[in-house]
Amino acid sequence: MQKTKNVQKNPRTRKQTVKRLRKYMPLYLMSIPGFIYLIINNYLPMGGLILAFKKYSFAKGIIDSPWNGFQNFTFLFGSKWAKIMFRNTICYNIVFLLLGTIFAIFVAILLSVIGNKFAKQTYQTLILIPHLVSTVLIGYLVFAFLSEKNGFINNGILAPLGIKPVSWYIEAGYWPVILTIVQLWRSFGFQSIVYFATIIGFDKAYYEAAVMDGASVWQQISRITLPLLKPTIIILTIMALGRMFASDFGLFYQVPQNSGMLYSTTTTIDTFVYRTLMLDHDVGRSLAAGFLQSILGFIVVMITNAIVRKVDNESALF
Amino acid sequence: MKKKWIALLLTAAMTFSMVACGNDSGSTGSDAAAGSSAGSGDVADSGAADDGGAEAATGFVPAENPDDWPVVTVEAINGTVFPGEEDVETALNDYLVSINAGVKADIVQINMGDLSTELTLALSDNTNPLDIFCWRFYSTLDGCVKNEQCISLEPYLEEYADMWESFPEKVLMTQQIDGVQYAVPSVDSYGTYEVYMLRKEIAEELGIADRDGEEITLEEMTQIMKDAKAIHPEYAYMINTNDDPVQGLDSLGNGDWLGVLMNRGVGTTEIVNYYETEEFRDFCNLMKEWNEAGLLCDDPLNNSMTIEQYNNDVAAGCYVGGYSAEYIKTLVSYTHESVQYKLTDLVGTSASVLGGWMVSSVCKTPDAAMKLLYLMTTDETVARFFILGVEGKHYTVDENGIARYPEGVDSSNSEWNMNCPWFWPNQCLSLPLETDFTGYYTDMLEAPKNAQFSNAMGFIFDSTNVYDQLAACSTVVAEYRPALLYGLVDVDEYLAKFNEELKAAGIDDIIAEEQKQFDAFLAANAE
Repeated sequence: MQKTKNVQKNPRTRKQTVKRLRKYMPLYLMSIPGFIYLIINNYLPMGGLILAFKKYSFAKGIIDSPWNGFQNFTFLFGSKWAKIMFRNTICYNIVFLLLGTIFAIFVAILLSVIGNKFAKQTYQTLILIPHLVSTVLIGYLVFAFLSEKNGFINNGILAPLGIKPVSWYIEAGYWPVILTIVQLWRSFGFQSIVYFATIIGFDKAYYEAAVMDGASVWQQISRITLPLLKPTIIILTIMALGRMFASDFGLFYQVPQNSGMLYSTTTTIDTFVYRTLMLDHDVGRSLAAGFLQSILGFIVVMITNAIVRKVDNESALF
Repeated sequence: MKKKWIALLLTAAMTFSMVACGNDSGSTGSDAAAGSSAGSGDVADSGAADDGGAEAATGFVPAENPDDWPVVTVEAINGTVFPGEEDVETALNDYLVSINAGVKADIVQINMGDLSTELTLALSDNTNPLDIFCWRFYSTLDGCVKNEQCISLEPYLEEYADMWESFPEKVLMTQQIDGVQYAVPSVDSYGTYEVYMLRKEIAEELGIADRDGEEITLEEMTQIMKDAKAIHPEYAYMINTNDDPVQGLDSLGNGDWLGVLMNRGVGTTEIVNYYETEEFRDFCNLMKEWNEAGLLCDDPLNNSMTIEQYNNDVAAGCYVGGYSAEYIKTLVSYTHESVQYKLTDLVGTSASVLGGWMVSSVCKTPDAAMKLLYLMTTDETVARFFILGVEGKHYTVDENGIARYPEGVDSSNSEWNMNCPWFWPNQCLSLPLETDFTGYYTDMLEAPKNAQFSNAMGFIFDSTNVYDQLAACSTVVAEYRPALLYGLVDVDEYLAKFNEELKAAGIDDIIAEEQKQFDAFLAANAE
């Protein structure tokens, strides 16, 4: 029975496909420029990745440059910086992901329970502003707080309290906290809006029913909002994991102002590569670093997705 | 149906515009003029890093019709795009035709802020190649040669012998690798000494203005700064403390000082780890003393420590280098009059040759490019077009032979960038700009005769074998050195840690490799 059904289904499907194709032709056509753009901009350049394994010569070009195996990768692993930069990149990303998500959902839920429309829109706009500020500018905002002799914290807070001024740009120990605060401050607005947009899409009937049954606000959040948010959280998390081995260059370079004494807590793969290759124009070595980051990110995404699929098939990204 | 047609139309339009984007056909005309079918393969053969191919060129023969002459593209740097480009090109090309040069020029203005990206792209662009460029601000000679971004100029040694002979041998050597000439050095004084510059009114208050030009020691200088601080505490008296000459270093071209010659390389051939020396420890202690006395700027790690701090009234004194007292005074239009106290002798090191001009490896007409580069270095008229623009339009010449901006024009609204003479191959062929110092360029040419030269002048370290160690050590230096040189940390504690980490990162390997190559260099040149 099953078999005959399939056989019958095929011609009909083909006919349907053609019909559907014709019906949606304008839409397909409209997407063509997008596809071309993607192919030209995102896929074709991938061919250049072979340069990660070559000694690039500007004269010989991509194809004719000689191969050099893994030599372009060695500078990443040759010193104590290997440990430091991988540790920093991964740890910061985990902390940002964890705290960022919690904080963003928290704010999104707060936004969703605000009744006043004007207030709601004002807050939405306000929390988005940090996301739009250039990192270089943020670097100077932070400097205005932390400058040793003229900064707000040393002069405005510590001095009146009789505490000795702190040389913020020399003490590496403070920076994991400072960078986390800066990152949360500037990213929570945008993330919250994403979650908020999901939350307002939820069927109000769930909440009405819950209120009828006497559920408290906390119960509404933990029993309705969070479970419904789960797929969004998973998707955003998996996407963030793809960037696990990359870091925001601006945050780690501009905000600490490339201050040498802070390297032990502010060096990530990107800033190390930048500092090392800044003067060399060594295409092969920079590509090697980027290639490694992408491959590692890809592996993490595949593993996470596999785990998610095993635990909860419906929520998996693919 | 209507919708479909509109969609089709839009798609076609967008696709077309996207594809058109990638093909910059409205270009400079250099490809048309190049008139050669050279593909990338041919370009590679044209001599890139081709040490062996030192056959003398047969000599550059101009085509009969100037319309058939190749157009050579030349890098120019600036902060904004200057509108005078077309005027300069027209006048320059008219002149080139009049002397039957056989080559025309097309100036490519590149913004300093994008220099790195723009030049990297231009030097890998086969369709619209950049033909002549300078490594200054972009890379190093070594870097350009390793990346095969430039071609060997050996085939042109004979043809343009007069140009090569105009340079001191040691200066030419700074633009060679393994004896192969890759660049034409930018003409300069090739040697500098360092002075401490102090605002004149402060020197007058201290009663030391009459000692202007006198040579002093670092101790005397410290005392002067402290005395000045006592009467004018609102200023800092030093900007950048990271200064090779004052510490007597020839850094061998490596700003991280990973292996240096002391005494600026004069009379010594031993490469040492400067960070381990007593001299460095004493210097750090002195910097600590300066910082504690309030002589240094606030937050030195967060501000750019440049001469701007002097012009902006943050600091009233700083180090400046130059080949003569008068030159230093005109070097930049300082906002305050100054007196200078000499700190070091006039010495030249490899680092004193600040730039070198190269023919790119994507250039399709290297013979023509070299001809233009030759003219830029030796022909006064050609050089002045690049450096000053068109006479009568962009500048006028007064009775003392000084170039002046035309009426109502200054550096802020000039149509041509006249502020970078030192960038071009031969600034000494141009005229001093808006100064009373008529000897600006003539004295510059005399300077090398009075200078001492480092033994390592012309030595270029090939870092291939110790690349990873160098990368690791550079980061360690960036971590510790600024804090030590601005006296921000405890010297004993941090210096010990600094040296320990340098050892772990492999500084000894680097120095051993440097010494090995340097000994070979000395032996080769002793022959």
